[in-house]
Amino acid sequence: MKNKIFLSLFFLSFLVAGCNKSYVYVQKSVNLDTGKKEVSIVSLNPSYVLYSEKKSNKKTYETIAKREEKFNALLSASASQVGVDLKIIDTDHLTENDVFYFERIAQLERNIFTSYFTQNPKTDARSSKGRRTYFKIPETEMTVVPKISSEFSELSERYGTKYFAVHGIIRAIPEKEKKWSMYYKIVVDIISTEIVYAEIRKFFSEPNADNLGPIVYDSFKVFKNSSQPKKKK
Amino acid sequence: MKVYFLSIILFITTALGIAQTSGYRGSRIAIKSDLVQIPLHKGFTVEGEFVVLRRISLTFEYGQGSYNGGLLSENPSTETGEFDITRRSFEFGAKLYYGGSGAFQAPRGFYFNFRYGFGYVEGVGRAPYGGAKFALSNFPIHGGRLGVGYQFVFARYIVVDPSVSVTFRGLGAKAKTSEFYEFSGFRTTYAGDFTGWGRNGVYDSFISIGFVAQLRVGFLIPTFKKAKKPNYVI
Repeated sequence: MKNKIFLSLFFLSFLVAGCNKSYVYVQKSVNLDTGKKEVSIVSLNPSYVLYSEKKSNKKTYETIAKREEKFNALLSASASQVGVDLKIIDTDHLTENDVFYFERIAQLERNIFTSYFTQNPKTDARSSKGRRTYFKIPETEMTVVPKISSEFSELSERYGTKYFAVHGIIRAIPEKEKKWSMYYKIVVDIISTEIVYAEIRKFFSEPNADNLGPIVYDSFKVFKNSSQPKKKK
Repeated sequence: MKVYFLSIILFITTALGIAQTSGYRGSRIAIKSDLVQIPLHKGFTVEGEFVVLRRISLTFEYGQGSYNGGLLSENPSTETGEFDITRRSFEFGAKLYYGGSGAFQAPRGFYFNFRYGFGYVEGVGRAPYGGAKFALSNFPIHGGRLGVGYQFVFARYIVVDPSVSVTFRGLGAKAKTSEFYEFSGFRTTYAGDFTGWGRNGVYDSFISIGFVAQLRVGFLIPTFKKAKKPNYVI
């Protein structure tokens, strides 16, 4: 009998130890609609950023670069499985002659970040009733959306799409608080110059393939479902 | 009529939700078996889990095995008899994955589990104090359970699903096999078996409560959509 009680308590402690809190926050523009079944996105320099307050946890540049490569592979695998055509522009794969990146792409990337974080998007509170996610992911609809500069619209001809995105992972290892990870994705429509989609997912476990895989897959799935053509009334 | 109505609701819910559901990187079906059953009950279970909504999955489990069951005396002070039982059982259930508005979705994470099961047992036994022998054939059993668990996914396709549950054996589980003895039935997947508590419960209220710890291990059925390598451009 003692063995059985011990066995049960062992399983119970296993469960409690494994509980994992997390949250997801998605903002969409009312104008997010490609009108096409296939969506194409150009991802601008996906990044993996590690903040560690522990002296013993100093990662080298090579370690971070390898994690970025894995993240790129995860993005591409998930996008292709969902049916999103993903092209990646990565600084680690540039040559000395690729000045175009510094002339245009780096500026666009910086413009997306500054626009999103300085022009706080206004959202329709009515679109985020409750926190139920049984059917759909909780999302808010941006009624007033951040805009980037219009000078990048000609990039759509070069890359064959109007959607450009920044993807990234932030891994934080505070000295006293709980470790956390964050996946973010901001998508801009360079023709309308609007940031049409923004997503943040925070979780308290290692951003390895087992944990990050379903998050990235779901992220592309949600985006693709959002950008399906709407039925005209 | 009830089954028909329930089926329509289930179909509509599934159809609405499935388009929004990612599963685990596209994998929505898991096949698992309870490792605890093999040594304890000389049997096996096979469970299929199908993710239908972002945080809800449906489960179906078939199990069979043999164990030493109990015959319950109507007088609690008397000794209980014993039965060597072979059982076949089917369980239907739903898992409600929990975590607020979590970044993760089914079939991974903490969940609540609701199940209903039915089955049949066959066996031969002896009444208390060397009493008369009894035989059971296709004896129906029923039961339900409420549980919690945490489903892990490792190496993309390997599923480990430890769980604990409280089980209920209601009136449907109780039937008289003779004038004096009753058989308490649904012990399909017991591991941590607090039947002493359950037996008293059966006698007092005809509703027994038990406790189960399980460790299911299995695999996710992969999606067959081809994953591409990164397409680097400039």
